[in-house]
Amino acid sequence: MNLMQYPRPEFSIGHFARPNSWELDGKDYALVMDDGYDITLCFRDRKLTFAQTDAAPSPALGYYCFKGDDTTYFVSFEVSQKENHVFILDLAQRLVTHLICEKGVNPRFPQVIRRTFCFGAIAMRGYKLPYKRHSFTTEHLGTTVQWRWSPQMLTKHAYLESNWYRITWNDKGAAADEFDATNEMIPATDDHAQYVKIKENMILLSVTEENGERLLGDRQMFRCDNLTLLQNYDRMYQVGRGFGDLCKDGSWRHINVAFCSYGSPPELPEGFLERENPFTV
Amino acid sequence: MNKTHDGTNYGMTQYRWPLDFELAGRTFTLRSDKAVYELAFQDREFVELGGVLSQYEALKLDADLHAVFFGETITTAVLDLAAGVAAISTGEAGQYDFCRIDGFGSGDAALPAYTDEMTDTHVRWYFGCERYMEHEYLADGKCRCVWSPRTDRLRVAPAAYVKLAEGKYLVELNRCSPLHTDMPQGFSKIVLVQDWVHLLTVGCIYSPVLNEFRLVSGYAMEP
Repeated sequence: MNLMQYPRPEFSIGHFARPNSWELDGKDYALVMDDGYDITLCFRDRKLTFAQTDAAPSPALGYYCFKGDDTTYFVSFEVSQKENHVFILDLAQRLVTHLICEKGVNPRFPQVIRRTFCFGAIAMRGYKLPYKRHSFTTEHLGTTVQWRWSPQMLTKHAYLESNWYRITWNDKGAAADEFDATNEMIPATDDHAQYVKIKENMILLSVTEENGERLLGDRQMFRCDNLTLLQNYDRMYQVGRGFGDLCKDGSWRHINVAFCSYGSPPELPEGFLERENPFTV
Repeated sequence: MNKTHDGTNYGMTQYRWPLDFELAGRTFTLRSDKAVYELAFQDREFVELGGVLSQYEALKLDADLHAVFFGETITTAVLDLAAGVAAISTGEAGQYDFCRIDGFGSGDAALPAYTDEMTDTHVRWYFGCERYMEHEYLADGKCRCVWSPRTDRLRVAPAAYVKLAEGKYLVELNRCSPLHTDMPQGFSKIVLVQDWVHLLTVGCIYSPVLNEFRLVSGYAMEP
């Protein structure tokens, strides 16, 4: 048979997701965080427990773990459907970035996700704590890239401002099918983003689809998702996860999906880069 | 600064995934009708087989499916730790031994085996920006190959096809590409472990002339 027709599920954005890495299994990491609340992550039997200073450890939780490169790990887990944590464990530099995404904390827009970043270091026996940190960055601004998420889905990103990203896609294809209806109802595709430099040619991008939620509310399907992506610009791929909710015909579904996409230089529509961001002064 | 590039420096290895270090410090005993293989992964770099220490590199294609490449003429070992089965190359082109792994799986999973299920498959595997191999898997141990960008130059390569598990296959091709393609010259052995559910592959290209191997990873598209 032609295996291109092999029966397979509908994966959408998660089609090229990599398998989970279990390399951290059996290991414990003491994270010295700059906000003073240190964290211990214990990986056992393909689950982890998460304990913060002066708090009881969590129950054993399932987690995603993908490698950005040979020594950098993207770890994501949910404490509940309203709280998701991402840790970037950078073992080569002994540094950590912690991102907490929370829903239900905005009284006017309960679906809008609040992101909180904290930086720190990984305590390792025999080493002093490093004084350097991962940090917010602008050195990649001006980057335009095409990301292929599946045989059918391709999107094109432009990173032009420090707190925003801009997205487009081809007129035909899975992205148009999924996103055209919503994006025709809002002024532009710019949305909230934050960028953290992990190391040379590695950026952590966290996008929260707030504008759709604020402007459209329940007139659209994707109810403010957060996509957090560890981008390797050396090899031109990114790994990450999406966290949020989807509401279709009144029926809610929680999203916690892993993905991987492959990058290449994009062809962009005329005026895409030059037009103003209508959401900023 | 625009960080996007087309991966010229890496060529066909551009999209190679990070290495798999899960096997470090572990020993696996593989048993077939013909032989017993003890693979002892000393650490992240070295594996011992039959008293011979070699450097290895590994990529994983599934939660418990590891593709390992090592040794002077590149031995391929694909370990499916969930099912407790493995395929290991014997040293002759396209020849594999199919084994159970002691202590893994329930013992009743189907062993990997040569297959003709891939016949009539036509696929383009992308390994970098616009860098691909296009394959037509034919009957009688053959594969029609095209290497980017020379879509005008076609080769028919000797091929071995192994079914590892449902939706997972191993393909070994033994043929150099024509001149001036994205495949480095002299790399005549290509081993790909393929996941046809997720349309992903990991593998190895090897040059017996240069005595050099490089790992590759990629995704599938319709040609």
